[in-house]
Amino acid sequence: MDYLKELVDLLNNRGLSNPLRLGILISLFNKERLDYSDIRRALNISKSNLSMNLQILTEEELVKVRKIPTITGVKTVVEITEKGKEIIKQYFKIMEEVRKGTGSS
Amino acid sequence: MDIRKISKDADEVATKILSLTTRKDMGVFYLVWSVYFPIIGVVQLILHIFLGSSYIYPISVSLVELAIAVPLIFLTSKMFIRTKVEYLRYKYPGFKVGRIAIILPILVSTFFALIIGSTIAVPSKFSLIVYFSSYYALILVLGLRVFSKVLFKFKMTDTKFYDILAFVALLALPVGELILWWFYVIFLLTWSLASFMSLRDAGVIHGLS
Repeated sequence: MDYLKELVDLLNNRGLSNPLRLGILISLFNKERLDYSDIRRALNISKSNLSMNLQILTEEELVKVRKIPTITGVKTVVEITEKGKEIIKQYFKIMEEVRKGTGSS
Repeated sequence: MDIRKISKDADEVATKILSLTTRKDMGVFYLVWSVYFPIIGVVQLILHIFLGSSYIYPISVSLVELAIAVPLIFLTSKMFIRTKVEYLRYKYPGFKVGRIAIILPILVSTFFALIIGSTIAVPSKFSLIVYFSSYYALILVLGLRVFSKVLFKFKMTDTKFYDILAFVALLALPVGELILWWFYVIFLLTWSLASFMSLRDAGVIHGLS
């Protein structure tokens, strides 16, 4: 089936081949921008683990990590890029086809 | 590569992140609306001191209330509207609501609640029906949409006891204010509590856990 091949191709992308990275990207698609500390708190993972995964997403040009000044100090935010949005839209579309194909919800 | 497992685990990761950020948004939502009444109270007091005997006093109060409420409504509703329709369709197969269907009721309720309710009904004191209908239009469409969609239907974050308290206080507010003039204090306390607890649960406020 074509859509399954498309899905495999999509998930072969280094940025999406790991559930943590794919999950972060899905949530970023939803919110556009997330605080680094919120992601870490929600997933209860170490700084090094999160930084390494964000590094991969950054190298694939799916997200941008930057520091912004706030009243309480500098905070790190993660933003999804246009390429990241397009990939997630494509992922949702293929998953819809997969669900239709398997008849599951 | 087990694509089903990757997809399922990725969904769990996204749900955890979105649950925390939604709880944070709920905290801000409660905070903004719990400070609205004290601000309006102070503004009314100041206007009463300077314009108390003037015929423009009631209209001035309404206009100031409008000026404060409208940005707050758009700010808080925007927080929840930004959830992507594409995501909702993905997460809830069969979901068909478009962006206009989400935004339109908010604009309509704002019109009813603020323009009619505040500017016409309150100064002229002509009708309790107008007061109730305008107030409940705002509550039903804005408040209930936040509660019903975010918490109850899409379960974007877990419903906690303080959400239920805030929800009951919101529903009781128009009736409560007619019976007890200080009823808004109860609203204020429940929404302040909900705000504090939400921000604490989202990890924004530390300690006392």
